Amino acid sequence: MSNESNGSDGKIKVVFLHPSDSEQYPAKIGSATTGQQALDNLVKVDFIKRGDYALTHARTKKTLALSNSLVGSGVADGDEVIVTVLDRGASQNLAQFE
Amino acid sequence: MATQAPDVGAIVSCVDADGSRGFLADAARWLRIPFVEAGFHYPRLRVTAFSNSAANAACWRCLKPQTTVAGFSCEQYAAKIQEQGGVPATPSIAAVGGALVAEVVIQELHGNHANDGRMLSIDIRNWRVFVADIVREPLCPGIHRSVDVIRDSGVMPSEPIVRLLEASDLPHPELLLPSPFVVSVPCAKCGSAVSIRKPARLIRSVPSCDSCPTEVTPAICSFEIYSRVGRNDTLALASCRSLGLAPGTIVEIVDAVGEQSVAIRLGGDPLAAFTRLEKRHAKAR
Repeated sequence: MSNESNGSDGKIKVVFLHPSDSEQYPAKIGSATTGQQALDNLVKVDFIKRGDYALTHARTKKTLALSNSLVGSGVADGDEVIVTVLDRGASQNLAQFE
Repeated sequence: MATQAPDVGAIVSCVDADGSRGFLADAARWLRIPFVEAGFHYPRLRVTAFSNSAANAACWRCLKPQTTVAGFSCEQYAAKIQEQGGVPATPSIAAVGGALVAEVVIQELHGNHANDGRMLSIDIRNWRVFVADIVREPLCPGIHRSVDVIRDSGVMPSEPIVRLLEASDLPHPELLLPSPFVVSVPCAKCGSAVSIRKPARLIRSVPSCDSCPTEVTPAICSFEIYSRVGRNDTLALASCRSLGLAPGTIVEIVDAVGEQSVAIRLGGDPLAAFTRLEKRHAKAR
């Protein structure tokens, strides 16, 4: 996954929406990129912190199965994908005290 | 799969750990009980709802396939925040979340499943709101099956597991344990075998010897952990109670060779599973 513009490589452009603010991360993804792989890369580029997330296809309002490819799940060129934190309450906050 | 309460109209999960959420989600799906789940961390709130009327529909675990048992309680978190001089309560978001969950539960109890299989996500600070339909995760580890009939076994928790297996009338019965039973594990320090003999959910610290041998040798012993018990397993002679099965628990017994499974309820009064505590008197000020 990259955010370099290149229309001839079979990749599509997807815009990931940050869970907390108005930030966006436009990326080029391959047809085999899974939801989990996309999340891992978003963490790697520091768009989001390591944690538990769900992905929602903004156009269809359906969540995206993390083991399936985004393209296979119906994500098309130019689509937006909402990143949602799967908050579970107090237990995720231990790290801030370490 | 094991659970206590089939005579309920809905299960609401607002626990702190995902492992607990996963267990409740599985129990609700297996017993066809509506399941409403919520979680928040200011300013974000999430509510999900599942009628569990269709066993093969998306479940909460489709949304969160990987879960852990470990948790950090609200009480501990609140204490830490107070140490830092902060206020641990977030009443605004808790009020919103509580009201939404209450409304969903009321609708489910009335048979209105308008939000079945959906996730509501709210940021109460910037007013970002959206609703998503939760899709089935192909690799979901959750339970996507439901029981139709629960059979009363008449087997008491003090009796051995083999009696439960016999009550199933299956040719090759195996009991699915609600929590893996840990017989022994290597000591975290020296690698020697440490006897545990507890359900995994009751293990609260890293297992280690009371006093490790003077000469430490490389770990050779292996983990002995059971997730199911058959007739020929040693644990078949252990009491149901010792493997974590309380009175009134409903368990699933499968046929090791075929695809049959049955749901069986243990005997005894479910209230007997609770421990009576002495009343504490408030300290005089």
